[in-house]
Amino acid sequence: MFYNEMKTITAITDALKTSLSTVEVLPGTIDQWQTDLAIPFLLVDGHLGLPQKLLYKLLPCALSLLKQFRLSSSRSSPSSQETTSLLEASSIILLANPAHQTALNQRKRLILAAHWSVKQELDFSTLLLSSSREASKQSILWDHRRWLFQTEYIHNRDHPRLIPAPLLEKELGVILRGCESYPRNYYAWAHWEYCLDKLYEGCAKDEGDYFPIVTRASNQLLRWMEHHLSDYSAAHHLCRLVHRFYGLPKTHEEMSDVDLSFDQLSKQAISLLSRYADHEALWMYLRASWAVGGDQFHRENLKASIDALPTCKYREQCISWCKFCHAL
Amino acid sequence: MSHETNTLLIPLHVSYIENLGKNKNDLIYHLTAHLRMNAIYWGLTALCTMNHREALDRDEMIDYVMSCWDEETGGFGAHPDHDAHILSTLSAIQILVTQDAIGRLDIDRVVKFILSLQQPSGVFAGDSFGEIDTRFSYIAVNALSLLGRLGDLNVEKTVSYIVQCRNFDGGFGSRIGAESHAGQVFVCCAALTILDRLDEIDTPTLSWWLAERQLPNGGLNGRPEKLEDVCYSFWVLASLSMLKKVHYIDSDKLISFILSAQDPEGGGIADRPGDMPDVFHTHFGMAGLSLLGYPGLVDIDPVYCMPAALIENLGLRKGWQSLERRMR
Repeated sequence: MFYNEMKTITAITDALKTSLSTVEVLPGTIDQWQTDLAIPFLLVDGHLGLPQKLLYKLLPCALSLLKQFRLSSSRSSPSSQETTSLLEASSIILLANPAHQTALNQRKRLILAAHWSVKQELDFSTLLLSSSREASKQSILWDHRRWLFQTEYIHNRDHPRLIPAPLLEKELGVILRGCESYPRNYYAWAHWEYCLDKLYEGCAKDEGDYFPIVTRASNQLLRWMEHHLSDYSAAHHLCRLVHRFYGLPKTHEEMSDVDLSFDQLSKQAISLLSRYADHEALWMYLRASWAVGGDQFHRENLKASIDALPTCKYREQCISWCKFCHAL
Repeated sequence: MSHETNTLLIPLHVSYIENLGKNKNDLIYHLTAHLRMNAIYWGLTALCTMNHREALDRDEMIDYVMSCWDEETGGFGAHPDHDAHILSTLSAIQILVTQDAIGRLDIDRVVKFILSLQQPSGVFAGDSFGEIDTRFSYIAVNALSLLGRLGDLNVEKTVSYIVQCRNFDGGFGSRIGAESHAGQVFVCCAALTILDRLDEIDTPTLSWWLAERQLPNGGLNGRPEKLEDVCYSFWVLASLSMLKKVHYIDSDKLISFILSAQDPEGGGIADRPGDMPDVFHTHFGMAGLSLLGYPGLVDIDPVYCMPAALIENLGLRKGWQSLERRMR
């Protein structure tokens, strides 16, 4: 039973171990994508395409393997073959159903028992997150990455240490890709906050590598706002970044050109609103930039700035809200 | 026979829920195993709201719940082959309470499992692998309250983390620094309500934010410049109910919106008109209609999202407000 399915599962997981740039779950069946039906998936120049119907066809086999293992007496110390089988089964389960927490937990157990490494799992997780919109919005997958970082670095029994700066910067890139594939990606942005926490810890220890990343991240978000006018999530996190890092001593030379100020944020909000006043998110951005860092000077300028903006229902709502919060 | 969607099609929705899960060979059945326990709670509570609790077999339901008990952890999984988690544990408790079968539970062990998930910061994790979220704090508070064991909780620690998740707009996020989201607002408001700490909420500012969730078509969204979704009929409305500001929403328009999302052929309610229905949106749409006073429905307690009479009999009713039940 399941002989052909197991062969295909192994072929897919072998492909996952090659140097892949992307994995994508494709709608439909393979015959919609290629003529060589001997290979049931697409692998071209480091891009792996897995038809969704193929994954669903393999799912009963993969679930059966997982269930068998859970009931077996060797679950606390799996053999090498069982480990391979579990990694294969759980890969397919998660590609078909990225919300399958039990399959993800099983992979964690294999890492804790040193049958699989954090690095290998981070690579798999990066591919999984980009495989579908459904995957990129799962809270458990973003939390899985935090668990991997905590396991390897922060709670490492032999060598506890900060998450290296380059890895954190790479992580911010993974997050923004998740936010492109699934706009307003709540859990991706929540993961951004975690990364900012870790950057802050690095900065507070005055380790030089971390400050420049904050600079680049803030510039990245400022550019992001120019191209994602409905993205209040990005606006919220940009305001949080400024709020958190504003008070840190800007002793590092790469920070000296950075104007991490609320004035800069409200200027951007007003500039965008003068062109795109019909975006509620931008009005909320203006409110956030004031609320998180507003002061007397800001208040006086805010009123004049709002008065100059195009009339619309969001403008009236913003004025009412600012009066309500004593901003005006 | 097609029905109009300007009235609530109760018999059709009852039959929709009765038929869920009848075909255990369906792909959908396997793909949703990871939230089966939650789905049973949603289906049961929706039936209670429509006054048709008897439509699902009580003994079969209780047997299913108990088959998901994990003796090792003292919690419940979503399905017999799935790891225990706080999400499925609360749903299991809610089902047993609703079915008057709480005697089947080892309360001490479940309480121990829940309390073991509180982190040093005061937030709760979902399981031993440690994903944190204010949702899990609410789940812990709700569950302990239903089990009569709120006295075992470190209330100050629990409240302190929730308060740190409060944003400038009065709303709450999933973790410290996360964007305000109506679902997270609900869980934080409900947790603080159960713990008699509504004083920690900036009621005027949050009520303003919640009122801004209503869109011109009458539907509610969860964040600025996002699409309307029927489930926010509950998250937003229940929060306003706890803050005694239900009148901030145009109830007629919201009722029309929820009714327009019904499937007039097969029953059930979708996230928005024209989409496929599912039991999650059927339950929360029904709960929203109940809070809005729609005729012929049973009162729902917005804090616990369970029948109000049941919560009152347990001595757990708090001072929330809903609209008067309309005459047919």
